[in-house]
Amino acid sequence: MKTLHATIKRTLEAGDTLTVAVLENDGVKRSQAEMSEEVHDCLEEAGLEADVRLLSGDPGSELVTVAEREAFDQVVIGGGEASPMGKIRLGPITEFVLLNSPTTVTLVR
Amino acid sequence: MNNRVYPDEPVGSFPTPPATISDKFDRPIEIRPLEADAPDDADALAEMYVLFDPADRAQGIPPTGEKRIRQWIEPLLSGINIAAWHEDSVVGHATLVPDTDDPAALETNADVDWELAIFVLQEYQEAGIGTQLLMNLLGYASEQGVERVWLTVERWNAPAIALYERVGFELCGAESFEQVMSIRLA
Repeated sequence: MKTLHATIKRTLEAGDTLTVAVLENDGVKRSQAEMSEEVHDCLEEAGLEADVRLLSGDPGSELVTVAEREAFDQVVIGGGEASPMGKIRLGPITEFVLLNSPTTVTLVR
Repeated sequence: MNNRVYPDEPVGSFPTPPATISDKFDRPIEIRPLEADAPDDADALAEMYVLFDPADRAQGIPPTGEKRIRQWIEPLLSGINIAAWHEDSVVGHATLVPDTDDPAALETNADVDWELAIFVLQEYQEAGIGTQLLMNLLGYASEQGVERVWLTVERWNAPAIALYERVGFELCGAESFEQVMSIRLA
């Protein structure tokens, strides 16, 4: 959600168009529907209109594919959870997107 | 992420601090614990990290700038810490942090997994100090009932992986860019 807030802010500043992809990820607490609802709330709060899409299937691969197929200029992802020590760890979806996306990727920290 | 695998066999008989060693360049190095409630220890540790070469950072730590360094050090000091001293300066630091949201609720140190990290100031690297620090930290932790220690290291950092293996850590899976290693002390 931190990533979404940062991206919404940047989108408004730059006058860009935003599309939010909600990925299917069994490893997280919130379901895709719950995430999607939170995304809509955030957008509404910020007064930004954006397309929100639910992607099914392998999360990293789907995101990269959609970004390329629809010629998006940039993909923005979060990732960088800290260990107890404060070491930054990139999750497997983030790693996949960074290494496999032909579209430029911004990693929000 | 508490699915870490530990070796079946414990590794024991590590040296315990305090210890005085002579490094490869004949510098006298003193190894002793850092105390959470000793402001002098916190200051000396912060000074070491201010001098630390940012190019030698790994996985986002240590942070840069004294303010961020102090914010990062503070919670570490309530874990288990030892330092290598040369004269009045800290030149190396090894730390164990419990993998729990509420360290105060820990009944025994054996209840949780401890994450390890070690840093040695550039001009003191490759002098045998890291190995001694690491072994003394594990000895000190063992005395305090710690049983399971893990760490992550960048997969391409072969010298670090070799050092951890020499001490008894085993490879136990990879989390994306990182290699996870673990050791059992009891």
